[in-house]
Amino acid sequence: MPEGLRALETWMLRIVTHPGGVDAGFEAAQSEGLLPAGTSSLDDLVPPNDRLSAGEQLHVYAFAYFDRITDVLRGEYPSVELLLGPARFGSLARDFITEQPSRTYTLNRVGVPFSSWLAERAGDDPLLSFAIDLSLVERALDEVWDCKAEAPVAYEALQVIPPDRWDRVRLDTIDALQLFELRHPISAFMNGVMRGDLDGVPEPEPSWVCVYCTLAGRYRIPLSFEQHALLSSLVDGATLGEAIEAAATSEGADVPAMLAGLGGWFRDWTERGLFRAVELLD
Amino acid sequence: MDVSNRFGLPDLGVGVGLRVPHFQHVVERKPAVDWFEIISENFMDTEGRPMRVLEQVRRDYPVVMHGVAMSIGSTDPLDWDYLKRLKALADRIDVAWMGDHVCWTGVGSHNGHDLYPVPYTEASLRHVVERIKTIQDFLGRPLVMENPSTYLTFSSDEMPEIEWIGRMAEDADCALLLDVNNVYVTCRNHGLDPMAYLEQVPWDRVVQNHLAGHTDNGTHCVDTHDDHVCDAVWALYGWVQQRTGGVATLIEWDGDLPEWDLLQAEADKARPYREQLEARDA
Ligand SMILES: [Fe+2]
Repeated sequence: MPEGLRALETWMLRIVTHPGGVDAGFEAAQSEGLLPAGTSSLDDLVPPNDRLSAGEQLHVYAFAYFDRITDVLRGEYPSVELLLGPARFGSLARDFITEQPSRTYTLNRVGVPFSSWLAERAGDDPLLSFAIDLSLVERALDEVWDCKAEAPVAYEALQVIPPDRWDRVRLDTIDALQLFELRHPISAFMNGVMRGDLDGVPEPEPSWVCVYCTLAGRYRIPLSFEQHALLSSLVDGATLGEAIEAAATSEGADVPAMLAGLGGWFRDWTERGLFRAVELLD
Repeated sequence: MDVSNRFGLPDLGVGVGLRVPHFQHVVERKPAVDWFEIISENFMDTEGRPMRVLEQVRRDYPVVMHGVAMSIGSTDPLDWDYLKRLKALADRIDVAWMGDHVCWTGVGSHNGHDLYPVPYTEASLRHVVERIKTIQDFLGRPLVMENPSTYLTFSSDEMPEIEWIGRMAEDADCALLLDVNNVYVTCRNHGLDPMAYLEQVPWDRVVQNHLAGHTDNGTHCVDTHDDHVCDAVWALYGWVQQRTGGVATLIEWDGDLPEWDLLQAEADKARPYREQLEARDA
């Protein structure tokens, strides 16, 4: 490996990714011994021209570094940005980029650790705690997009199963489906974001959400506690009978409402394409 | 189709980049463009809708893969996991050709997600040539390497960019993607004459042109891909098409992506330059 090239790449990346800007990056590179012997200023590394100093030329890359990744985060977490406001989001993004330098080859994965990074720094800040819930769902909307698009089972395949066989039936859920139990009512907030009429930040209150993607597109639907319990058991591989039993015996479950709603729920979920197979166990 | 390059790669005509907001239009309307280019990394890790759309598009159009993450100039080891997935996608889609940029994107496993300039030295030339040869052997096809837009030069440069790129192409026996806008931007930024640059291009290695809009900040230009191609770049393109006898041409538009019709109209602006060639040949 050419040592001179290695050294150049190392000092340049240090300078253009320094959160304090190019001059601070130069000082850091100098104190860390990254610069070629005899370097006393940026001009020794990058010749100034008749329009831009060495620092201004390097700044084009320094600006692009934070701007490009912040843009990616903005695209992946639009509700988080609306919740926090562009200034606070921008400053959080800058901290994230600095504390978690990208190790992935693709910009598409740069934002993956953003949720867990937010969770580490949230403390008891109520806004950040809401932001974490939003970021989990927005992350999921991105992840299901890349899951294999699968052919769903038709509702008719479910209709022919008599209730006395439900304990011997397994409904196989698609890979592009994620379920969430959250501390905040994110659905109303995110709907407001989509409509463009944000109406304040709601108080903490448990909520349940399903995120999925089919050939028709990607979706986020609110769930009740019982619906979430049912779908979670199915995702874990329970039979239909076991899933209903588990949901009905969950603490706080509204059993009569659940039993009344079951038929409609499964019709809706099947028509949405959440199941890829019906398996009869014998 | 004209085959005037030494690789026997065809002149595909005029194409555009395949971008998510245009998926539906492209699949349903099969618009009148000759071919599509994809950003390789946007399709390497997905089995979802992007892959379904790409497979559908490929049935109707030639597809070229253009990457941003090979980091050919980096002194980090080659990322074989990345290269294997790149090859798998190229084979799966049966691409017309594939390539990346003359640049490095990170070092020490820290990815800056930018196209950083390589210092144009003998040592970097040997390094890059060896890496291109290794990758070409692995892929079983020539790489098509693009000249970058650059915003600085290095004190350690030993030769002009186009001399370095010409030698790289010769020594590695690779193909070139001549981005005419990048020639314009780079020459503006470094006070060079774009025609003098173009005079030195090894034309028998050029298999593709890029055209794009840039942002002119007065003191320097930035390759933003967010606007119409400017008149000066069209003029250079006309000269390039005359010189090559016609090579596959692509409009790059990424920022502020317009509606399909505007994008297609921009692509169609390239056709008169190519029709002049056909008239000349007739
Ligand atoms: Fe380009």
